This record gives sequence, C-alpha cells and structure tokens, in this order.
Amino acid sequence: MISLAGRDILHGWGKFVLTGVGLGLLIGVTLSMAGVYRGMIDDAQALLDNSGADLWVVQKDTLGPYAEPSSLNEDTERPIRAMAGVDRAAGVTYLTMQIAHRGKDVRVMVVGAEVTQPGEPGQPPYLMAGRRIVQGHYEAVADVKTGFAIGDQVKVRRNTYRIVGLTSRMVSSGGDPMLFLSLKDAQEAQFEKDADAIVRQRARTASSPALNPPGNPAVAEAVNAAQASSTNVNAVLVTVAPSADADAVAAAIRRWQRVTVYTRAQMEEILVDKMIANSARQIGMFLVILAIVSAAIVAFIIYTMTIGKIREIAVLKLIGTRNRTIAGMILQQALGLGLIGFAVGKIAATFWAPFFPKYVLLLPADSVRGFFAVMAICALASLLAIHAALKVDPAEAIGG
Amino acid sequence: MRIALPQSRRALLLVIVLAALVLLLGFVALRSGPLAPVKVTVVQVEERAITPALFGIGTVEARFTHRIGPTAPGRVASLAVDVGERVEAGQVLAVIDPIDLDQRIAAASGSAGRSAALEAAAASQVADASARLALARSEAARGEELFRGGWLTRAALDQRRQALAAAEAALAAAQANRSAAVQDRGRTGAERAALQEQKANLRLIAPRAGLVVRRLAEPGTTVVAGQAVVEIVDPAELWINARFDQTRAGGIAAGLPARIVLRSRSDTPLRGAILRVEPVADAVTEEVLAKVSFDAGAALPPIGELAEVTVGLPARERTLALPNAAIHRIGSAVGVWAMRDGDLEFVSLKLGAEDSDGWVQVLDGLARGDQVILHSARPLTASSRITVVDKLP
Amino acid sequence: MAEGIRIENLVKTYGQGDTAVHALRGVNMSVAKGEVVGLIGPSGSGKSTLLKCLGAVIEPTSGRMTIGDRVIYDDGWKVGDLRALRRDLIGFIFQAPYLIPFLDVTDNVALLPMLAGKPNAEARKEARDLLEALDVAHRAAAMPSQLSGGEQQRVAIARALVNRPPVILADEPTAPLDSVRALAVVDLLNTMARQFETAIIVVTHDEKIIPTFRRLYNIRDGVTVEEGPAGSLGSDGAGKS
Repeated sequence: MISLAGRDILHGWGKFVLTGVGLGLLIGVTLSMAGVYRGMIDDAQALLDNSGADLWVVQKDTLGPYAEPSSLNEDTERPIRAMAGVDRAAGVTYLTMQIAHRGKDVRVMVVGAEVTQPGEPGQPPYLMAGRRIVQGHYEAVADVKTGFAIGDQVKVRRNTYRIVGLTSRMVSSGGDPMLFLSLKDAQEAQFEKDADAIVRQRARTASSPALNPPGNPAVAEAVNAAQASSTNVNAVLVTVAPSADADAVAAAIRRWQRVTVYTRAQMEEILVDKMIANSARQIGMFLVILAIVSAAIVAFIIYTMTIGKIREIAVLKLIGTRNRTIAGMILQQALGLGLIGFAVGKIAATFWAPFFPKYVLLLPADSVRGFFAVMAICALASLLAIHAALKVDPAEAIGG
Repeated sequence: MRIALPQSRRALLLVIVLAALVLLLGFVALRSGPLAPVKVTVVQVEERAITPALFGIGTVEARFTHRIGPTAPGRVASLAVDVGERVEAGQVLAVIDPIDLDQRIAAASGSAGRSAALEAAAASQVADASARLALARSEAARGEELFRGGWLTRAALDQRRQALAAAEAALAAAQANRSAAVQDRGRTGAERAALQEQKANLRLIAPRAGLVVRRLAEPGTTVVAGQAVVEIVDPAELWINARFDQTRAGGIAAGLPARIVLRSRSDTPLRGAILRVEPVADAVTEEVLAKVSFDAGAALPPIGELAEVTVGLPARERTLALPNAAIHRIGSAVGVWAMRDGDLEFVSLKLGAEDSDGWVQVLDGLARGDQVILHSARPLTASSRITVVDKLP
Repeated sequence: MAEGIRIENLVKTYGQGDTAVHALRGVNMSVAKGEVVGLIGPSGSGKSTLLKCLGAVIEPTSGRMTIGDRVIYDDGWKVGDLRALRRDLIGFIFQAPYLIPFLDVTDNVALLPMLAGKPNAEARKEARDLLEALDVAHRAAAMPSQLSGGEQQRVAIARALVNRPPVILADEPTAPLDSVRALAVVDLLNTMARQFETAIIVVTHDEKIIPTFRRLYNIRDGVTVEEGPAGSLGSDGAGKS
C-alpha cells in the first residue's frame, strides 16, 4: 500500500511546507509566550540564585528587600556573622533607578554589595567580560542587558562610575538589569540627595528653632551632618554553613536580632506567588488563548485542505478505499503539518527570543510538552476534517 | 520503491527542506537554552609583577583652621576683613562692641583716687596720734617725778597715766586705718587693670598669616563666648583627609607615594604622599583614615573638594598572576575553574595581593601555563559542557 | 458467453407513502461478459438511480442482482462489505476521468490492487501491463495533470479494468469528447470487454455513439425496455455493428 498522505504532500509540497511554516510562526509565538512566562519566573529565581544567599535578613515585619522597602543598619551583619551556623553575612542595597546613557534612559537596579572578596553574597557570581571591582569606589559591574560596555562612564546620582565588568542574567524581579557598585557607593547613591535637596534641607534646618537654637550654632551643624550620612542597607544576605539547618539559623537570628528573616523558600513565595503572580497569570491566560487559536487555525487549515480534495475522496471511496485509509491520510497530513509547524516554531522562537527586551526562557521540557500538545491539537483538529471526509457520499462521483 | 521516479526530484526537494528543518531544530535544541554548552573564555596563568594599589577618596582640607571668636559674649561692632582676604599675623580682624566697659574703667579710676585720699587722711591721723602720744608720754614721766617728790597728788598722777594709755590706743587705731586705706587703693587699681585687659580682648587678632575663608557673623550680631566670627586657614598648607577600605588597607604607611585626582581636574592627576595614617579608624564606615599631602609646586584646589587618592604599595616580585574575574568561591574554598584535559576542575588557590587592574597574585595551586576559565556566559559546575570562544558576549 | 451481470425486477422507491417517488419500477437487465451494452434514457427516467444501484452506492428497495454467479442483492445486500464489492467486482469510468491528482499514472491504476492488498511491485506491474495494453505506457510516470483528455480517459479505463472486474459501469464516458475520439473510446471499450471478459454498461445520451451498441437498454419511467441491435431505434438510423 502506498502512503496517500505522503503522495498528496509530495504533490503539493510547496504549499504544504508554506502552510506548515505559517502555522509554525504561530506556534513560535505560542512557544515564545510560554518562554516569556518561564522567563518571568526565572527572573525571580535568578534574582534569588544570583544573590547567593540562603537567608535574607530584612527590617522587622517587612517583606523586603524586593517586595517592600526595608532598611537596616549596616552593622546588623556583625552580630549575625558571629552566630552559630552562619557562614557569611553581607549587607546589600537595592535601588531601581533610571540612568541616562548615550542619550537614552536605561532602567537599572543599582545593587550595592561587598565586592572586595570573591563569593560574598550579593555580588555577581560570574563575569562575561572585564574584571571584578577592585577599587572601593567609582567602579561598576553591569548586566549586558543594560547596553553598557566596558570602559563606559555612567552617572549614578552625583557620581560617575566606570564600567569594569559585564555579567548576565542579573535582573530584578521586574526584569530590570542590575548595576553592581561597591556597598558604600551604593549607599551613597541610595541615600544621598541631590545638591538642591541638600541645600534646601539645610535651609529648613536653619529656619527651625528646634534644630538651630539661637546662640548654639553647633546644633544645626550636627543636625546637618546627621542628615547627610547614612550607613543603612536594605537587607543582610546570609549564607549558612554546610552543616547547619537554614530554618534553625533563621529562627535564631529572628529571635536574637529582632529582625525578620526569610529563607529561600519563603523568598520564592514572596517573589513568585506575591509579586509576579498577576502578570504571570495574565501571560498564562494569553498562552491559553493562543493555544486555542492555534488549535482552531490548525483545524481550519486541515479542514480546508480536506474540502479541497472532496471529489478525490468521493472517487477513492467509490473505487473501494476504506474509511480507515482516508482518515489515516488526513490524520497523517495533520500530523505532518504539526511536525513542520513545531520545528519551524521552535526554531523561530529560539531565534527571536534574544531580541525580547525581557528574558525569554525556552525550556526543553516545555518544548517537549509543546510538541505533544501540537500533535494532540493536530490530531484533534483533523477529526473535524475526517468527519467531513467520511460524510462524503461516494455516489457524488457518479454523475446525475 | 515507495516513491516513483517522476516524483523523485520533488521528493528530493522535500527531503532537503525537511532535513534542513530537522538539522536546524537539532542545532537549536542543543545550541541554545539550558542544554547548550556554556560559552567561556580562557586565560593562561602567567608571571607578572603585581603592583598593588590602594584606592581611597577624601576631601581637601586645610591643615590648620583657626576659628577666631571672642572670649566673652558681645555684639560684633565691626569686621575688618572679608572672605578671601589675606591677613598678617597680629592684624585686627574684628572688634566686639565694648558696650559699658569704658564707663566701668572710668568708674574704677575714680574709686582709685578716692582710695588714695583716704590713705593720705589716715597717714595724717597716724602723725597726729603719734604727736599726742609723745606729749602724753612726757607729761606722764614728769608726773612720776613730781609724785615721788610729793609735789603731785596720786589722783593727778593716775590721770596722767590714763592719758598716756589713751594716746597709745589712738595711735594704733590711726595706723590700722592707714593700712586699710592702702589695701583699698591696691584693689581699685587691679579692678581697673582687669577692665582694661578685657577691653583689649574685644579686638580679634589674627594669630598667624592666612586666608579668611569664612565670615560667620556680621556687625551687630551678638555672639556667645567661644563662637567663631572669622575662620582663617593657611592656604599653603592643605592636605587630603582620605578614607581607605579597611579590608584592603593592609600595607598603607606614611611616606607612600599617592596619585591624587581632583574632581575639578580629573585629567591632570597630582602627586602626593601619605603624610600620616590616623591611629583611630572609623568604626562605623569601616574605613582607615589617612592624611595625604600634596607635593610642592602643585596649584592647590578649593577646600572641601572631593579627591580620589590612589596609593601605590610597594611592588611585589614577579609571581604567577590571574585576572580576578577568574576567581570564584565554592563553599569556603576560593579558586578557579581550570581546564584539565578538556574537563573542568575547580582548583583551590592561595591568593596574594591584587593590583588596580584586577590581577591577583597566585601563591599556590596553579603552575605557569595552566589554562583557567576567565569569563563564562553562565555559572559553571563541574559537569558543565563548555565551548571556548575568543570573546564574550 | 457467461453472464456478467443480471438484474431482475429491481425496484427503488425514494420516500414513503404519498410522497414516495418510484424511481425504478422493476428493472430487468442482463449483460454477458465481453459484451458492451448501452443504457439510455431521458433525464429523470431513473438512469442515474439504476447506475447507483448497480454501483452498490445506494440500496435498491427490492429485486435481485447477480454479478457472475454471485448474488449480491436479493431484497437486501448479500455481501457485507460494499466497498470491497465495488473494488473487486465493479469497475467505474466517469464522465470526467477523475484521476487522483497526487498520484502518477501508474499509481492511479495500481491503487486498486494495492487497496485490495496486493504488494506494491505486483500492483504496479499489473498497472504497467494494462497501460501497455491501452497504449499509454509511455505516460506511465506522468502526473494526471500532464496528460491530454484522451490519455486521461484511457488511464481511467485502465483503472476500471485493473482488478479484472466482471462488470464495468461507464457513466457518460464520451461526453466531453468529439465524435472521432468518442467512437475510439467505444471501440476501445469493446476491445477491452472482449479482451478482459467483462460486461460493460455504458450510460450515455451521446447520440454519436448510441448506434454503435449491439444492445441497448432504454429506461423510461423506471422500467427498462431492451432494444437493439442498435440502429433499429437510432434517431439518425445510421447504425453500425
């Protein structure tokens, strides 16, 4: 027996392949949408992974540092460092801001981390180019997505920083690329006001009798000094010694330091379940609709292909072709279309994924799932066409 | 023969298209996404002389700052200098309004005159009492003789004796009176001298030659004791109060050369040296403080300007070195991913000093010519598949 | 000559009761193997219905049909698988060739034996032999769309013959052809009928070829009237045998 489906495809292969490519682009969009969804979740995971922390110590009763503002004194880390089970602890600051670079604004998350020793929590775990920050000040490591290049000078608040290294996949939970500074620089960037604000603040201090009592000018100076300096951090990242239990260490810190401590699992819950849940659901909804639309389009394509062959099907039936053979032909064509579509879609999605502004993660497992979904959808979609083909009366082939 | 001959060309085309698609799919599946090999760049361990450098920031400060103000509360009467003016040692900078000081000096002078008059009166009383005593003494002596001769009654003799005692007492009283008057005169004189001294202190005098940098009160302002009215610095003596990160400040010492970049002149670095390392570090900011002096001949910057200071520490001998981007920490081990027969292996290292270009001394763990991973597009593990490329990204 | 197909008292009624349409009211036909007969009749005479009943596409209401010595209908189908029946016992030739456009000439012909379960090589060999016999072997590798109308019709005939069916039903096979080609087709059918021992029923209203039939069945109001030899009825009288 010859393969009727194969012969039919061969006969009009150009049309068939083009239809498959068209379908493939649609599947590519669907896969990309899944990739966008995975990318969002992965952004949140990457934020946690790249921080290198096991525990997040934040201001008491806040969901900080990513979901809520949190502020701690920098020296909070010192007693924590001394606690049993704690391997390392380092303060870290996060600040999302806009940076003007070559005439356009780049939205970045400025991260202040301990940079002097490799492997401190909070610093980028690997570099794609350049070097680590060596000088304690005015050097920065940027995520490649910022578009900064090594040697670029970027201005953060009042200081200019030189990009000395590039890293990748360092993003905030919102997908903003990170710019790493030394902790002190970042504190300055975060808590320092612009010059105008400082001058106005000084004027306010000077006009307040409580802060500037007559006859004692030293008070105002002290107040100004106190306002200008800050040694706060947003969180202290803690790594736990290999033998210690993270939950137990977290409980100890919570009890003795009177701060809020989150473990990795809790942080993931905050980021994934609380912060990006809605946008993820939005994308998920869109994904479902796209899948349905794709399925409908496959169904229509296969139905149209079949209806175009209705006379041949009638002749085939009249000369004794079995229903099974005809249904098999339609099903094979649908699956063939699905195969081409999936391949084209996967390739297309892979090639256009890097051009998305935010991270698109195409998981192999998703591709496999997508493959079976496409095949199932094609098989289902062909049912409509098979139904139509089986309804064809062989008598139609005979005139009259 | 599944495919008939006339269709073979058609079939061939379709097969080519499908094969291309399958190849591309395979490529895409293996070369992108999580299954793709990690792109890395490698570097060879080489010998290099490391010149560690220390980077700090600080502000330009004057070495001596004189904040000059009155020692007693008062109102500023006049200011002789303005910001930016140069002053000489001993020059009057400002005068504080004396208010009633002159009147008090006049009053003190008046009371001194009265004391002198009182003293003179007391002296003449002493002379008078002495004369009276002499008279009483001679009359008493004559009375004794007359009594012995019987020429005088006993009662008359007692009278003369009593007169002598009274004259003695009168003299003692006059003498006491006189010494009191002398003391009073000394007190009023001192009082006047004190007021005059105070008047002299109301003139604010420059203790040394310098530049007026701040004028903190205007005439008419009432100032408290110790409040500065004028600030003077010596512009020839500026230094930088620099702060260095404690973790790297190991080798810092007085005398080390420093390169100073001023905010306003970032293209023309100045030369200087560490003058002294402060014995007390800042415990809050975890920084070591040091004073950095400018070398002679440099045009000096405004006080308070931000400066970046790079201190060159003594160069180490040529040793094995690596760029710091290659260094990672796994658990408690610091090391690098080394390429051993095409496989990745994490090698723990003992590291030394680091220079300002990011080269780190390798003290132990690697040999010259060893290949280590420098940059990678993703984090590495021992089981990562890698492709070596020339350049990332 | 052995009997190819015999129809006795075939009745087909569409609908029931008052609205019933009696398409066939008792048709009797008999065609011997190797014989070509014409089936003529005006529109609405029941010609199409008869053809569909013969083709086992619709079910008659009553009567009896025998192909060869096999009773296929006797007030009900006597075979379970009508498709196999059509495939194995009946060949079809249509007004248009209706070749399968995505199969080449050989496979168009070889499809039927393949459907019947023959190995591809054998089926193709049979097809090529038949194409040889029909003088279109040189186009064996062509696609149907590359053939002329006459060539297509020959391939269609080959397809009808390939399973050596006892009966071939030809539905207006000459309608789109000019008279020379139409007569050539009839000649061919005659030759094939003899060569392959098959009974051919040609449904036609093509005046050009009606005179060529030795026997004609004229169907009117659902009843066949056997006529012939041809020419006795011919409207133009120019019969030939």
